[in-house]
Amino acid sequence: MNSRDEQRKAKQILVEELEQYNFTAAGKVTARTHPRSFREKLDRLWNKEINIPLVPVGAALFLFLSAGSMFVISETAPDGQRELIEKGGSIYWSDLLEREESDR
Amino acid sequence: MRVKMKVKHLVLSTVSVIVLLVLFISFLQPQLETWGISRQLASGETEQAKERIIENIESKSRNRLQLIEKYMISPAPGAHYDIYVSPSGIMGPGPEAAERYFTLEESAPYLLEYLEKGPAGDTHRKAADILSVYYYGEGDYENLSLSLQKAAARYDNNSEHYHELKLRNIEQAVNFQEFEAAEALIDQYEKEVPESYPDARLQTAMLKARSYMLQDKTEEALAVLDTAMEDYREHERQLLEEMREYDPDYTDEFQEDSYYLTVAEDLKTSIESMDDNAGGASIEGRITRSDGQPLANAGVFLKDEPNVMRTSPSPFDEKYGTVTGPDGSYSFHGVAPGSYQVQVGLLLEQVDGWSWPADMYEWVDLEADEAEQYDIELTPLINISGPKDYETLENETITFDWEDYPDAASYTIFLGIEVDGGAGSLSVGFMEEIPESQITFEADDLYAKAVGFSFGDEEWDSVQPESLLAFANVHGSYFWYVHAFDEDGEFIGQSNGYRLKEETMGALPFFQLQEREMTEADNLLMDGKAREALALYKENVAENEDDIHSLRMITRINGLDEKNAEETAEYQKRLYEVAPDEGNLFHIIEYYFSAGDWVETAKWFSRYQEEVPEGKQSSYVKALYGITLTRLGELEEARSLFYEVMEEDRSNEYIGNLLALELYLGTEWEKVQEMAWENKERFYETLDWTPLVEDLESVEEQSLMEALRLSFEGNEEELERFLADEDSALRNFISELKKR
Repeated sequence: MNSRDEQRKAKQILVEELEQYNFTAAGKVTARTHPRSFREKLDRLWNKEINIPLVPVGAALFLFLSAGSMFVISETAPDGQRELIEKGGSIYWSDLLEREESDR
Repeated sequence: MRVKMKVKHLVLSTVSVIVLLVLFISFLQPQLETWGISRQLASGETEQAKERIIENIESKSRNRLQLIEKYMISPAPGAHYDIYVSPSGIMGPGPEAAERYFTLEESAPYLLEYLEKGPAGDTHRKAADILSVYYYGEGDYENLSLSLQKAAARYDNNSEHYHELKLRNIEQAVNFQEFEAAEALIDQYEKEVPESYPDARLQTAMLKARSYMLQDKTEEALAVLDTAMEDYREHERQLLEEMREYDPDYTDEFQEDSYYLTVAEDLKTSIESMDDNAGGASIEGRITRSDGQPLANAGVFLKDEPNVMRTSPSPFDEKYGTVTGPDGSYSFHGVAPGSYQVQVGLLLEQVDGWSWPADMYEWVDLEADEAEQYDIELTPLINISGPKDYETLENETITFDWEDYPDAASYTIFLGIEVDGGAGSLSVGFMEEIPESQITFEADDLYAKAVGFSFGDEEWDSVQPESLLAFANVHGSYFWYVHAFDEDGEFIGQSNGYRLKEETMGALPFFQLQEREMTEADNLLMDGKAREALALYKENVAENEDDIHSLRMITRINGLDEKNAEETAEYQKRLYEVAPDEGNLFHIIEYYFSAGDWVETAKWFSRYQEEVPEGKQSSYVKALYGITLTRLGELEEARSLFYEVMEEDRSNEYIGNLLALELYLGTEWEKVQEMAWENKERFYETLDWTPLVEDLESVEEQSLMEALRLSFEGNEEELERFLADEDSALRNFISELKKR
């Protein structure tokens, strides 16, 4: 048996086996591989796979989050509740007096 | 390391993070704002924070009701005041004042919104109270009534708030003499009051009666009151019967009369007295600052003698309480005759930088059918120039300097020390009658002055050493303040008071004195070894009898224990020899007086007279000498001395002694009684000697003279025996006399 016969035979089997299948998405595939319209282009972009370098992005995210939490922490520093205090015969607000005392 | 993903996944996840963030911020942002505001306030940026609060409220932000609650309602005094000032002293303020940044005027429009939209309840009710006080002070009846109606509309007929607000509304209509409106409100309210609210019915009747009273319709007023009181009693009787059905032994014997019933009785009495055209006194006046600015919205209360040191929370709950109008005016009518002090309720913002200098013995005597005018003027605090701001003084002389105060003819300077690391302080009047706004002392003048002692516990050696060393403690922190008096000796201004803003704080009146050096004994004392220090001071004196500092310290430390009185007096005398000083003489006189040694007391008093110039002698020392003179039988002299004491001492502490002398020396009854009436004793407690003197009229003259003679002689045992069979009137008089 020469190879040509074999090929013909194989093809025949293949044709017989694939007879019930019918490829209809040829248009779609072409649209994907060779996008023409805007929508097709958008679709291609939408599904484009990208590689994200984990280290720089992770570092940037980390910096961003830690800066944010630093801000929050600094803002929640304990409140100095003021009170009235009697000193030297007069009555002052504790916070104002402390500030003046350290300024003078 | 890399991850692979599609663009659409990246975009979608970013978008969802952003959406979440937006949602988060819109719900959390108001909270963040609230929190940011409190941060700003804590760091002292009050003005910016206030603007931010107003912005948030006006932008209809989600947190606006919460902000109104937190910054305008909770810290507001409501129908209360921060401090209550009367000539007898100052009381207050509560802690809520610390969070208050808005004045009533600033909060009023937002409170009105809160009345409509805020949740009903106690806070809402407080908003209504605040507004009613505010509008009352503004003289704005329309808005006052409107806000009370708005507030009441948020409650139903079963709520206590509903009835209180309705009654307040009627009360205000009566106060503003809007009689037609009051009548309409009463008619409407009477239909709503349930049978089960007898208090509210009685209150309504009282308001109706007051309204009639103000329109001079006394008969109608009394008729309304009588009917209402009868109904009220009937209700109580029914209640009692019902209770007895359950429990036949039930009794209301121990139950006090209902509060409203007693108030109604009072009202009835005052209406009746008006009807007789006798009884009601009135008082009116204005509260202003010395720059002419009236003080609106201040509480004014009339306090009789038993209640003078009681706070009056709300001007609406007091028998004699009111609020000043926009021109600072107030008035009371139909007041029971008697002696009163006027108490003023103020907010911190009203008193900051100002004070009401009032003599503590200032009483107003109100007489029937008479109208008193009583104006109150707040004066600015005196500015001091120095020493100040914790400066350290090392010179032998110290100059105190302050502003020339308008109308001041003389000043009194007070010096003080801090004890307990600044937690407490002791101060003392250092010098009176200073003619100028400046005075220079030697450092030693300060060392000679004791300021009183503070103790850790009951043992004398627990005394705080800084209080013993006083101004001789080089590590001590000292302060000073001045009071100003006008030509008539009236108290007109002071440098100590409420200093709550940077502008009003002025120079800080604190200084340190490091002119001397601490001795070994001083250091021992400061280490809490009072006994060892005392021994060392004594040693020092034994070596060098001119060691003034050690002598001073011995008299101070020794003087803490009464058992050492005699020894202390000896050291006092030695100190007097080397460093004559008024305080020293005073202690010696006091010692001989309490030891009952009249001759020595008299001897030392004559030294006192030589040493201390006429106008500066203490009335207390004079009174001690007056008593000494009576003991020595020199009654005429004693009498004239007590007259001098009475001139100087406004508390009339020694009026009893003078009255006794007058009676013994044969002064007419009427004159003695008049003296008693005009000079009520107002020392620690108030005592009117008039009835005590009046009762003596029934006592036999011989007995009276004998009792007085024995009491002058100080012959306690004999007096006791003699009084045993005598009239109680005499016993009462003598026992009061003995207490002095």
